[in-house]
Amino acid sequence: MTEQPILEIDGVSKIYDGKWAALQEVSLRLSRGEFALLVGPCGAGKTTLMRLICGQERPTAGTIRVAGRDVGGMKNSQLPALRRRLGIVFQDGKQLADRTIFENIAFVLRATGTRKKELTKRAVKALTLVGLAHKSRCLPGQLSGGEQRKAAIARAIVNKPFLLLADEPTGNLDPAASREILDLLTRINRFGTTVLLATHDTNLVRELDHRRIELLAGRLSQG
Amino acid sequence: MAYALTEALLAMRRSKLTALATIGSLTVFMFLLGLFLTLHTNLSAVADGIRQRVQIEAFLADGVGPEEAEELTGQIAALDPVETVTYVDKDSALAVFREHFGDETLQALDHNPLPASLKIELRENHRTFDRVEEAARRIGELAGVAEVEYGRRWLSRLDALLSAVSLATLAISLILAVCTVLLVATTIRLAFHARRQAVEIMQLVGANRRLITAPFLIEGALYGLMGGLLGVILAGLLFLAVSRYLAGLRFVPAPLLLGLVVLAMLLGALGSLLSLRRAGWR
Repeated sequence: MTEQPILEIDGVSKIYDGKWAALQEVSLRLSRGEFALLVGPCGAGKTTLMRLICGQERPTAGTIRVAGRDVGGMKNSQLPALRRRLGIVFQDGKQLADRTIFENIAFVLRATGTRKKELTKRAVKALTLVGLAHKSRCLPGQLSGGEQRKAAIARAIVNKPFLLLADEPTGNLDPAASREILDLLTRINRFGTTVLLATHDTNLVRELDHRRIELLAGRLSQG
Repeated sequence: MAYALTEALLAMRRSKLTALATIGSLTVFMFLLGLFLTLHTNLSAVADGIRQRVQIEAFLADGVGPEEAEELTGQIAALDPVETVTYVDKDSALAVFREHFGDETLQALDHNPLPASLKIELRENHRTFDRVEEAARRIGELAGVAEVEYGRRWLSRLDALLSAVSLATLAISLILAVCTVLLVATTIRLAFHARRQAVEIMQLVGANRRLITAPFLIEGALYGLMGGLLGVILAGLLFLAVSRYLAGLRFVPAPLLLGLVVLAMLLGALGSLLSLRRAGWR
């Protein structure tokens, strides 16, 4: 018996309004501890796939299993439990502009019912890991683009997810800052978190020695 | 709970203007309600006082002797709404008259013109216009009773006034309650819109529905609570100022005031709930 994959996608299609196919017949598996790159041009369906995995949307056909549980068939009330075990780095960072970096992380911990004592410890630990401990009192607007992404990553990993979904975490960053983000994600992966990184920037990930999943116009491209 | 309260207060502080406008309007609503309740309380008190004194006087025909009067007393006392019957004979009536108007008035007459009468008090729950009228009619039909008197005009006006004020208070309360709910619903809709990013993040990190909606519910309830408290305080201050000039004025009883504040809080929460429901959250 092989270990159960962390992510199993079988024949998944997502068709909007009955005619716009964002994804067609996509099947893939991620093993525990894997680091996979989801590459493809804009509009290939990378973000749609991410949204399906975290239950933001439901597949039109096919099944998605995260740690063995069928996401597409989950009730809305079951989604929170799943999402607490997922780390999501959003395309646009999604930091609350009126709260400090620390508050942004604390907010997530509070929202998932972490005790106060534990809360500070974990927030500081996550910020230290991404190298932003010294800027925890800054507002997102006072940080550089790269730092904002790191803050978003800190928030995504603070709940110790088993699967980290990063959607264009290097978008709009210069190559140096992008490299830092990739290094950071690699480091997180070494701690045991499975990472799925979506990007359209093939140059950036060319030298990365990770598994590559290519999406083209909603289909997995072979080869 | 502590989390939701903190978030709600934080949200109110961030949108001060909306919060102030909402609390201000609710204060006015509750103040108006307080005034109407005060008016109602006082009119009821006045009406009760008058009702306490309502009695029917049955004047006996001339020639009705003490024995027949006693028999009449028995008959009347047996009527359902009657509490007490007191017989006032001709001599007592004269004595009372003299006491009030002096000796001279009746001296020209060589006999006592005042009729004997029965003073009838009704049970407390029978002291409304309709019941008094009905009782008076039945008493008037008894043989030996010449005339029946009661504060007919007074009583009918009092009852009409009281029911009009009750109705007005009820109508205004309902209108103000609806306004409160709608106002809070609108405010919370704005708040929800302002925090939709926070809500989205919470959803995606796995906060459950209760935790996401609790701050909004509490925010609505807080608006109601503050508006209710301020409104009641304002009404109280006005009452204190006015009661200096109008002795005997009563304020709304404390339990009712407390009820008003609690009601305002519940209405606020209801407004939030309405808004959340429309946004698809409840």
